[in-house]
Amino acid sequence: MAQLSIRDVRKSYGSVAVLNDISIEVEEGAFVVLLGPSGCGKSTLLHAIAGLHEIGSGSIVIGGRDVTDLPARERDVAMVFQSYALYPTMSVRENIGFPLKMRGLDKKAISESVDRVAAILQIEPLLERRPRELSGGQRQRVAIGRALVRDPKLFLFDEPLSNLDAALRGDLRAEIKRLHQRIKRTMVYVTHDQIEAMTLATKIVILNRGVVQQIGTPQEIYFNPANLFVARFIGSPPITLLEGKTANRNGELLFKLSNSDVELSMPQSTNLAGDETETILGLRPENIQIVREGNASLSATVDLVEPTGPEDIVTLNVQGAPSVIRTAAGMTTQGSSVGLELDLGKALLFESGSGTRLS
Amino acid sequence: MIKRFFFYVGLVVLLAAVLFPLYWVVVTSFKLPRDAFAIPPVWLFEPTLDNFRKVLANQTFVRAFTNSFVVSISSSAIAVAIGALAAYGITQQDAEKRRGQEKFILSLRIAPALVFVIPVYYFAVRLGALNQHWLLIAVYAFINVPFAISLLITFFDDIPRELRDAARVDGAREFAIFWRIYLPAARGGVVATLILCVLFTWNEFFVALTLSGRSTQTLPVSITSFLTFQGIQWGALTAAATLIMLPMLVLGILVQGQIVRGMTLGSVKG
Repeated sequence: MAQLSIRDVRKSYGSVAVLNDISIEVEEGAFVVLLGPSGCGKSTLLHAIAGLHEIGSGSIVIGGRDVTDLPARERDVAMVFQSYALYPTMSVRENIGFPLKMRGLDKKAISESVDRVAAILQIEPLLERRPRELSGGQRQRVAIGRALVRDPKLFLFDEPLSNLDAALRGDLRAEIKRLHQRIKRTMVYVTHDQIEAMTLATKIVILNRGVVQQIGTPQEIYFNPANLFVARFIGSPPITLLEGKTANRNGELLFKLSNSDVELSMPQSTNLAGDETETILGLRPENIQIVREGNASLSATVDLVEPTGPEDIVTLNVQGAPSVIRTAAGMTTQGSSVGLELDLGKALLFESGSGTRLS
Repeated sequence: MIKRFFFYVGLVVLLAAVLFPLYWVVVTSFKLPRDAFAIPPVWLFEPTLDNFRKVLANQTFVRAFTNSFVVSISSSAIAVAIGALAAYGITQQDAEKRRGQEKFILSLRIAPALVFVIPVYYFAVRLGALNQHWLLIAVYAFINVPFAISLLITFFDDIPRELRDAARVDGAREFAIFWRIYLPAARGGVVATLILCVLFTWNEFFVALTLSGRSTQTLPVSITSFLTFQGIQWGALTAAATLIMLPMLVLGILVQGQIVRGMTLGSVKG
């Protein structure tokens, strides 16, 4: 049985729809990441699940119970906020114990639970301090502790790592992943950071303008994007997109690159696209290799080389279209002309106007 | 450099204008009648505590002091209690509702006290309440509530909204959020508001003059009794004035610190 079901949820502010017919099923123990650009509705959706925002229509079911009309305190969820939202006048111990106190547990039980959680998060030495005496990473640990103490049906994370510096973010990300593997609880996590999404999620929900674009495992989302938006949003360096037209010749699918006379012979079936359809061809960076110009299917010039140590991130100009790939260090120099070998078997084809996936 | 110079000159002039009358009041309270009326004024004289002895032996003055104390503390406490609940409620509304409510509060502050003092006087006479403390306490609480609300709104606004969201998810009811999270977080502001209400009530003259009876007279009304037909008793009057100012001076110094603290507490992310 699904631990969380979101069914046809809609919400609008005035005439602007922020959530448009959202339906998501989350099975027990899953780690779902809601991913999308800012303003896509992911935080609104999370707040709706928590009961902090009302929804226009649709229903939200947590652990088999319809909570659509229940206030936040009766939904049995715990939430970690981007700004930590620790109670400034309480000590760490009081902060973590607060949800239990609100549920009327006695002092001894609260104290034991707080100690147990503090041990898991290794924050025992901080228990008597105030939030303002803690660093950002420590504060977020305390906030996670406050969520953990209660054993809720659902954990909600609202961009919990966005206020932390890069190194700390990596540490805490790994810690959240370990925590999930250890306690095996259902978690819903909002972020705009695709690395967080890819590393943490068992399931990713990609949202844009209040509409679900795709739901899938990180692998599916990366290798098998449902549309152009998802393909473009996921991946670093980003996917290379080449505009052109498909052509059907002797039972073979051709891709004719715009602004050039290059024709690529595609291994995909000709049923995919009609003759002369405006199409966008997408290739992940790892499917583009630099080769000697002689036996290349395509040529490009090197716009920029960014060394990262073991490899360079190279920005190419492919017949006017930008393409970012990784190469071995020192393989190219800026301004030089190179040949490209494309792994067209892995190419993704999208309809030009709608962005719908063809292959 | 020159700008700085004029700034300080201006400051000195301003301070002198404000502080000199206070200085004169305090100094006169330590003078004997002959020094108080000396022309030209004497700057050096033999200080005496006679005036203070006389004032403190005056039963009317001592009772007025007690009245003022009881009335201003209790009315301010009531005003802040009501004001805090109302201000919390207002800050949690959506913007549109909130604007309407704030306008209403502001209109209460703009309305002159005279508007309701007369009908209240009429009711008080009919109820026989003119000589009772609760009348003054109720009226001052009523006058202070809008002020307390507007001030407390600014302190509550400094508290991040997410604290309320977090508390709601943690299982707190609305009153628990107010009592356990918002009120402690705005403690500095609440104390500052309380003190400002006390200051206002302590100094208020017009309402007290209209609505106090013989046994509930507050200090500002009571000291007018030193202005007698036989002449003004300058020594006693200034001694009384000094005694009235003293507690407020202490509170004023306290409130300054609290307001600054209240302001900075909000700006530093907790």
